[in-house]
Amino acid sequence: MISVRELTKVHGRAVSVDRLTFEVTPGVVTGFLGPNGSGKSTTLRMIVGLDHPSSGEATIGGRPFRELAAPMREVGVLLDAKAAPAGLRACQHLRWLARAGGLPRGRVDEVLAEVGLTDVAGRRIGGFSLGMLQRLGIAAALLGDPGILILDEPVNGLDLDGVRWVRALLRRCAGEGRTVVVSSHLMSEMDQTADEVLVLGRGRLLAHGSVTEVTRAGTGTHVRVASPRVDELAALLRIAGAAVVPAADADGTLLVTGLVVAAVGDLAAEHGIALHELAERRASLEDAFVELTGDSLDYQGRSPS
Amino acid sequence: MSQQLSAGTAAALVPDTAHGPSARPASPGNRRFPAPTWTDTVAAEWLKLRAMRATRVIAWLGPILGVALCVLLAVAVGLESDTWSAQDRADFDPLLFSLISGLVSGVMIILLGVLAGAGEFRTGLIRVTLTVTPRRGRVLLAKVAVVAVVSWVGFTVVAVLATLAVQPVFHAYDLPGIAAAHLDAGEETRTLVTAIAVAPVLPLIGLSFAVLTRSTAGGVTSVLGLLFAPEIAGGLLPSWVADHILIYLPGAATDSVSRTGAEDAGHLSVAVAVLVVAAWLAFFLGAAHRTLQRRDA
Repeated sequence: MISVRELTKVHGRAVSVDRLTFEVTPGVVTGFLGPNGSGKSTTLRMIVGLDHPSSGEATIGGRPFRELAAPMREVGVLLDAKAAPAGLRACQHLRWLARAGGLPRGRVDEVLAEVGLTDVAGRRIGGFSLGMLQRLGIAAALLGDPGILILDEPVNGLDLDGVRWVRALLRRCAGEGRTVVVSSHLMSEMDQTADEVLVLGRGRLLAHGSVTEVTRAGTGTHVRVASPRVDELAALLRIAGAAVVPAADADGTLLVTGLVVAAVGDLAAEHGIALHELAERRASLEDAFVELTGDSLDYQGRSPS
Repeated sequence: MSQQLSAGTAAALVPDTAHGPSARPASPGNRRFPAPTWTDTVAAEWLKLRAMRATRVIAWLGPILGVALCVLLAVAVGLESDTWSAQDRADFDPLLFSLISGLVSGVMIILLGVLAGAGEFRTGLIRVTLTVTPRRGRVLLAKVAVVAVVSWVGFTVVAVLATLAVQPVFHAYDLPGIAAAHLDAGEETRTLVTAIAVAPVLPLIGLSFAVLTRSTAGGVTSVLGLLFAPEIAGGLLPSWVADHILIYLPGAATDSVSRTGAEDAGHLSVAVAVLVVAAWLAFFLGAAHRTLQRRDA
């Protein structure tokens, strides 16, 4: 369990993380979302004790990361896959890591096999592609067989197979009861990977919940309803607090936001209004994300890379 | 301390037998984990340093250049030895001669000390190091241990190789070989032992500068500046400055430890010099420790 309370990081005058409070629970994949520069990486660095919070605290199972007795066995971390030493061979890199964590040396071969790098174990890291570096970084995070995994942008640079593999791995780890935190600025990716999402913008927590909750909160999610008595229905829906607009593509059809699909159906039934169509159109997480972070993009007009 | 250190490095070289079946990777939910020991951290730092390309370059270049320098100087001495008086010949010391190789190995181990500290900051590897070992004091101490042992071993190996390499040269010029060294006099043994003993001082100061500046260039420049600036400036300053102030600087104080004839002008007595060197080391390593603890990685 990762607990973050009132976590704040100030660099000079800029507030990069602003009173963040959240908890990450085991057994699910938690996506940590935000545009570039939203404070994701700074938050992750504070959680693993690399950066000192200006105020507030982050704890792992109730203790600050820096006080963990066997950190590698408790938390597997991948912050920057490119930080691996270019001059070392993949197996050498994992070997010193295993030693530093007090782990049995046999784990090196096990994780190399797990990430599919056994064949290049003896090659120098300098010649690795970004995808191979990501796999190596994930191998390093898995070395201690930790109960918590924290991965910063692990699918960057991976091809489709690689992305699928990471997704399956994260699912499996969560299924085994581990806590899995994975950050990304790619919403479409998280939509398919994460169960829970934390959305950050300008260092502040914009939304926290299951993917369904977060997408439903956005106006992109709406109920599409068609009826022969559409004007009457529209008036009733507005009284019930919903926002209603006529659909552009069909007469006698409304797009309703602010009410769930069941409430719309019940309301129509109550007043004896026949419905010809009733369906929820879920916005993608990406839509919800754009809406949530629209005001907090640091660099407007520059699309995230 | 040295016993502990060599135990650490030795452990790095033998297969991992300390971890029995009880150290199997823990499954989530099992919260009783064996913590990595101090030896593990030292061994990891050693594995990391040893695997670096720069380390291997230095490990080859140091002995070659050190020995080459000694052999060249031995030839020069040999050519000149015709003109020596009997006294010169008696004063000639075939054993201490090879300490000249320390000029090369000294610079090489300073480079290693700096690399052990700064190399990781350039690549960002330091973040990996500090997440696997969040106790930063322990990481620094492990680096100190590795740099100290490598300095001792490196300095000694180059000196021994140089000693062996110059013997044929001395023989060719009919100069006394090491068999003629006056080890029983104690003086030479003392010089040899102290020269080796103080070998890690400047590399450790280099390590401190590397951690402080987070840069290889910064570390090397700082430590070489500290070493040579007083020598250069010394000639321009009033002699009492050189006699009473510059001799307390790390380079001069280190020389004072390994030198005999403590009453000579320009040298501290051995006891004072040891204290001064220890104080410098404590100062620089303390500053590095403080910076490493406080700064964001």
